[in-house]
Amino acid sequence: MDGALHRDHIRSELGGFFGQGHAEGTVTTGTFAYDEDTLRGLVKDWLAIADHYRESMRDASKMAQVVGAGTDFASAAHANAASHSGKSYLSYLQQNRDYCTQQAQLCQDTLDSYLGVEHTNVSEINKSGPKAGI
Amino acid sequence: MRRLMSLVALPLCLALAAGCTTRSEGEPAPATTGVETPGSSATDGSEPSADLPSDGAPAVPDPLDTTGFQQDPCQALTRDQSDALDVGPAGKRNDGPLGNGCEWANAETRGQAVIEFLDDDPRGLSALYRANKDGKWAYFEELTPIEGYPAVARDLQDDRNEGYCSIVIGVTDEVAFETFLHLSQQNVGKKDPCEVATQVAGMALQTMKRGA
Repeated sequence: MDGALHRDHIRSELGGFFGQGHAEGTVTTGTFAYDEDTLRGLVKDWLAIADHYRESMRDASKMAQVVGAGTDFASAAHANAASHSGKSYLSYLQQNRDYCTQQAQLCQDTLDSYLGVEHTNVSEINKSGPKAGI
Repeated sequence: MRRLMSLVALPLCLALAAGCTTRSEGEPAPATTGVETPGSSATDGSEPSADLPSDGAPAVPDPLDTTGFQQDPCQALTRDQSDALDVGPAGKRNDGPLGNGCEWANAETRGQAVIEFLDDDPRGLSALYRANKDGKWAYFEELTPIEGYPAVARDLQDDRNEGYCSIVIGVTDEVAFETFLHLSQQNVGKKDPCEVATQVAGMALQTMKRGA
């Protein structure tokens, strides 16, 4: 998924939230007041975006299989350039994925603090035990 | 006079020689240099090399015809199988850069399984072994054959501790498919994602064997 698609996806994930007037603060003051359901929704949305970045990383893994068309210098150089490009793309995706996960964690921490419960890791929620299936 | 005879005789000889030549149908093809290494062709959908497997990849002892599933990978898991995995009744097409794919996902649990063919690269598992030789993978592990088919776990990103695993299974020397798995949140840290991915790949292979 390229940058434009990601932006569109983020807007579609978060657009509804901002459009429904849940935010009671303004960007200039930097304060917002969220209710519990909104915070839970934000955690879910940020994680969904992070999952989309991970999906793009899976596609990017195919770049590792690129080899030159022949054994000549130009082919090798072209394959090498493609490999570097793939690494840069992967790094970009990783950073964005981490950012989304961090935002989800911030929302989760806020929710946990408000509820007065122990902080939980967003990637390991519901640690009561293994469940059937995946 | 002798020079004139020569000028007349030369075209005559050429015409006679051409008349003795027989034509045959054929297709022009590039000459092989003899230095090309197996698996060095580009991933452009060209004809598979006769030298597969290469780069240390295992041979596929009992090739499986997966043509139908390559066209529609969502047939790879039956409803019973996807129900058992708790990823919903039907898959959704999710094609990748090297072939068609299908995704089964549970939005609530974040559990996800993807089956994607890599058949646009005609080198099968050999392409992954080649990339491993070049040190490109964050992890690369040979697995016990799944339903009799060789498999490896590999990815550019090692986030298995976060519940992700990607394995690739060779169904012929030229064709492989990937099984990508993300554990549901409740199972992260409780189950080995590569073991679960192996189970999913086994289910898909059972389906493919029945449908082959």
